Amino acid sequence: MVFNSLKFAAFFVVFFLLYWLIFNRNNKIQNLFFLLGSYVFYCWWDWRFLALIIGSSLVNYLLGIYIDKSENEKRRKFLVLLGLIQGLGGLLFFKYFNFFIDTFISAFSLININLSIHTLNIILPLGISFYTFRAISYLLDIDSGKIKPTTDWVIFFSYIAFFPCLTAGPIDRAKSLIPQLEKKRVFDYSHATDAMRQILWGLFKKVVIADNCATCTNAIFENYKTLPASSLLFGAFYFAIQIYSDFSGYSDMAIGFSRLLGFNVTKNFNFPIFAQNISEFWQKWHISLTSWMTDYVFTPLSFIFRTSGKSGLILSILINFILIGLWHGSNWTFILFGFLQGCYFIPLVLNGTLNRKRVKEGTHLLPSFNEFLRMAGTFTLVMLTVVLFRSETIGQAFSYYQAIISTSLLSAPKIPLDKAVKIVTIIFIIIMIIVEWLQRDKEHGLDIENIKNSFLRLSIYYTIIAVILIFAGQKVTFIYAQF
Amino acid sequence: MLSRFIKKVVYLFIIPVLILCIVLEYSIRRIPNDYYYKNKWLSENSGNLQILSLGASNGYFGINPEFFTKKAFNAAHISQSMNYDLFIFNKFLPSFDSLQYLILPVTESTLISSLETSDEFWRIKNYTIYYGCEYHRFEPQYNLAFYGDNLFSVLSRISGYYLHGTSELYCNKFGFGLNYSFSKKSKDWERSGILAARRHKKESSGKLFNENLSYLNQLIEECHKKDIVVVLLITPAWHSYLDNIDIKQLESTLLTYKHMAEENNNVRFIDMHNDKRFREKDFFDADHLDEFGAKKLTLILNDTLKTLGNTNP
Repeated sequence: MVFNSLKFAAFFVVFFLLYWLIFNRNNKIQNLFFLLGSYVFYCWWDWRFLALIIGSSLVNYLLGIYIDKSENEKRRKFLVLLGLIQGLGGLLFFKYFNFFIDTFISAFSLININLSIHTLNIILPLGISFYTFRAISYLLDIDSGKIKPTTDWVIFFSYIAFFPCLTAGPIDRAKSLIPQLEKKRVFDYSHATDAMRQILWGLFKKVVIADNCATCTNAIFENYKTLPASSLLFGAFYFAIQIYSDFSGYSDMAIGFSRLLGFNVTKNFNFPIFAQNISEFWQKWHISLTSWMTDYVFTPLSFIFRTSGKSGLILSILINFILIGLWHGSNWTFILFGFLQGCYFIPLVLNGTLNRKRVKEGTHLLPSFNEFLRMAGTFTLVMLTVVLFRSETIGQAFSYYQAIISTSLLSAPKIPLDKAVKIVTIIFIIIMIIVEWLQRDKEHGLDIENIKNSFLRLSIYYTIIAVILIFAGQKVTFIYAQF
Repeated sequence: MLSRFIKKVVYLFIIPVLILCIVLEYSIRRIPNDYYYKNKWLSENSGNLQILSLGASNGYFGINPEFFTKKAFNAAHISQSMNYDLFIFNKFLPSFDSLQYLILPVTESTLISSLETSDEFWRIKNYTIYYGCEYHRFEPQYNLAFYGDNLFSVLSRISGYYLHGTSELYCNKFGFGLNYSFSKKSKDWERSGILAARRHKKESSGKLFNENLSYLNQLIEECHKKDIVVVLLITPAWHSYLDNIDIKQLESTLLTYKHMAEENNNVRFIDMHNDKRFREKDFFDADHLDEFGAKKLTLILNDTLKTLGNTNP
């Protein structure tokens, strides 16, 4: 049940009305109904995994209480370790088991030993990477004394199964979400209308930009061996935009649906296409994952390697980004993607500009020439690595890179697609970039509360709805829903 | 506050969008298409039908019943999977009084694919709306004729039909698909073999295989009861397709079809994958015939059916 489906629309309308009109007497009833809704949402995808999410919630709920109660340091650490084994164990099994087996077999075949170990036909449970990270951060934060465990199981189970963010995040921390679950939510009109705008903008990015880009990307990647290098560069560009608008569009919708139900969840994207270096890019891209990894992986690692100076810092960054890459999927392409992202940081570490605060671009209409060059450079670096994201194997990615490095890079790009699709896609990409640039200091692209003329606002909504209905691309699954 | 919000959303957005949807749905449903036509034809003529052909695009574009000497009809549709073959067959089974042959064009991926899991899943709506199929009756999107199209193409279809009289019937009166004609053949049609072979290469799914096998067995059993001969047919393909095919997948499926023919006395298996009688001009692309190829194949089948006899041995 994806957000841009009729099924979800029907589910959410019914849920929204019941949530605010019937089940809003007190916080307990609100939470119980919210939990029920989350499980219905989960079962709609595959009811067989409901036991898994309930089981995981129960284990982490109890562990949270026991970790807090335990005064013995060793016992505390043991309980935290138990939680990590449970969470990461599930993740390793469902997401990485076959990858490790395949890698193991390939490694042994290099020394002429043929192992006959069979991989398993494993279905990846919906949102496992997201809810596992939510549960792990909960336990680690209790252990470090940042938060107190909740003793209300409904609140904790709702935090884990929080349905607007269950499929693909944002990965909210207990520190911000649990206090909201502890209070009765009150309907706020201006909050709700802005949430609707955010959903509309997310929907536009998903169905108009991402889905049309997907058509272009597929046409290029499926025929890359016969196309000129300039087309392949376009392929990488389209895919970079596709992945951005798909995921940020999804996040906008997830945040919007949460806000309609009275929650404030973490902003997941902060207009990363205007980032002026790679460090800034990762502070603006998938913010909830990056900050999670910074707190629980990078910071402890840099503490461990603190005596090794810059090389220790580089090592911490590389490990952190390899794990970020691996989080995306069980494929060497993701690992290499993460490694390359990490490598991009090396010049910043070496010349000491990693933590330098950049002067924020002003509210001026256009970026300066230098700003523009830095943005284009950062985007190009990212664009080149997303080829790995799109490729099925490293070999395929390298063959794509190889095909880009040719004299045909200067020839006119040829994309085997209907001209109208290409034009429509490019026009809407430009519109999205312009709108997001103008709105870059706002919460989302359609944050237009400052426009006081309601007729003008309404005209903007209708125009976007018409664009969505008229130019929606062929429906493509959310990219991050498979992670 | 809440009621103000609900009223605003309902009056300003939901009602206009609903009205638009109703108008579009009504207009689209009135446009006759292949599904509407084939269901209507079968409802009216299945009683004296002698040869029925089902299957996906290789059957839709590969068999032109016009060239059979017996009364024949092609009820194949693009990406039609085994569950829908069975549905169509069962729907008209009570009135198949004269049916002698059921031709089922199959491929190496037929037993491990389904319309539901393919990129063409949006076609499911056509079975719900026009054939009255119940498989997805309670899923709202599969009850909407405009599902799968954006407003631009819906409006183009509506204006095409109502203003310019553009037909959405892409088959002849015998149900044979007319879109893959020799004149429309693309210049690099040979290369389509690589893409088609890649498209047909599927992750083996035991569950899907067992389901499809069960549908096929049900078809065979029903045919057996009515003395209908089932012809499992692999249609001709061009070498660029055959060279890139997943051999393991092909061999295991061929084995299954052969086994079915051996086990059931009303089943025949004809493998024409590499039939040298089919030349370049017979192909629209590497895995589909054009109108010349379809005529050739149908005439060959017509002769073959005569040798098979018209009742069970």
